[in-house]
Amino acid sequence: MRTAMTTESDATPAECPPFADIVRQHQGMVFSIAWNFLRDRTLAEELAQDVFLQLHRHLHEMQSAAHVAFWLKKVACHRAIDCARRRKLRPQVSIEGVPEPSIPAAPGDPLLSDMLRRLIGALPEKQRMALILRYQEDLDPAEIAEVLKVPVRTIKSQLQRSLATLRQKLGRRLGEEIV
Amino acid sequence: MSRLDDELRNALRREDPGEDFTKRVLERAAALPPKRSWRERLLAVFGPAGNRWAAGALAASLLIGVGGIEYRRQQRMRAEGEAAKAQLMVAMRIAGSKLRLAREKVMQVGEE
Amino acid sequence: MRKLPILLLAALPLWAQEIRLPPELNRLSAKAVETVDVTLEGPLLQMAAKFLSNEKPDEAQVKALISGLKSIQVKSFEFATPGEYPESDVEAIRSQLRAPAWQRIVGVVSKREGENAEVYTKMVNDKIAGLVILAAEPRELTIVNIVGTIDLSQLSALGGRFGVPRVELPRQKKDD
Repeated sequence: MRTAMTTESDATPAECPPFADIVRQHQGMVFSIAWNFLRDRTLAEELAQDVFLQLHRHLHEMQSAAHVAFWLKKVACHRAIDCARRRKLRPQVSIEGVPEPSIPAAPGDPLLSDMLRRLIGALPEKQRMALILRYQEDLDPAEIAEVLKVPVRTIKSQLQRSLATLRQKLGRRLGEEIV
Repeated sequence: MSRLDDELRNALRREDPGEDFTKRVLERAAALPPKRSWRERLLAVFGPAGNRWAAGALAASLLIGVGGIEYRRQQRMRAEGEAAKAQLMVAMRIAGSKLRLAREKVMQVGEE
Repeated sequence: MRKLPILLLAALPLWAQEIRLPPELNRLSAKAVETVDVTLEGPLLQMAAKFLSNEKPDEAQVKALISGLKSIQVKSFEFATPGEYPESDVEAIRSQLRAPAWQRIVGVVSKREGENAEVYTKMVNDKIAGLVILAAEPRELTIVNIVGTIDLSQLSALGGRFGVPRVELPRQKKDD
């Protein structure tokens, strides 16, 4: 069993790469969680920087590279949710307020992506983050539940609800039948 | 896998913030005060070898409680103050947005 | 004898004219997808004020605005579907605002959109000493209850920041 190093020193555990490498390896993930959630680039960058600085202070507690990745994901998610709550970033338009497009879109259509992001931005915070972890990070519901510290069945129902809403709003544009 | 799944993966794909971001993080991390062991911090406060006895005795009493308790109290007050401030800003934002809602409604009625 | 009720009314302590948000409102948070519940008064409000920075313009303006306030209470509930809160909850507050001390300065009802927006003020010695905002929308109910001296010119100075509009309704065009 691995044990965490508990002495306060600048040395990182042997299993963890150096701090600079950690930043380069994970900055896309951390920044994108903040960016996809908050849709404010400046805020997302600031938040992402703060997450890495927090890691820097706690680096001696990390047990492995995998532990670092999980820790960064968890802290980025919780900080983004807290940030949104503090700012009370209400969506410009509610989900109901987004008009349904009528013309089918080609795969990867940037306008469709933009609309999707707006719709996702209008979801309640926990639902929004669950969706981001599912589709940005490719986590399964059990992994999402561990990051967000909510029961797995809650995650499953949140994902189902979000997808149903998105499908309803975008069904025609996706060329799918509205279920 | 449905079309929606594909489009969601596309819309929520990762984006790298760039080398500038890396540079800023590393600069800020380098500017953080260096971590020192508690022994080093105490000795930095109490000076050369001749004072080690006094440093040790005083450090013991600090460790026993007085300084630690005061530090924790101040940390707690700071956290509470920041939390209260955050709540206040949320409250003001909501009050402001609802005042604007009322104003917009009045203006809409005036234009009709 | 007719003068007596008026005298009694005038003698009512200020606190008796404060509105009280019914505790039953709190049960709405169980149905809401998002709830904001902020109550800041007395020492906690003063503590929050101390942490507002004079260096940041927005915080400095809020600091000036709240200097005469005794308390701020905001309850906001956002629901997934319309019709999740009863009108009786809003009426329980509105009925208190029919007291003589309060006057409604804005009252807009949009039956088409199902939205009500009301602003009430309480005057004491020709100064605003209380402000209540009731915003009842299909999927959201927000109540703001501010007690204390409010300077309307400071409030209007926040126009454009935090979305607080200028109080004087302008002849100019809407800016958004």
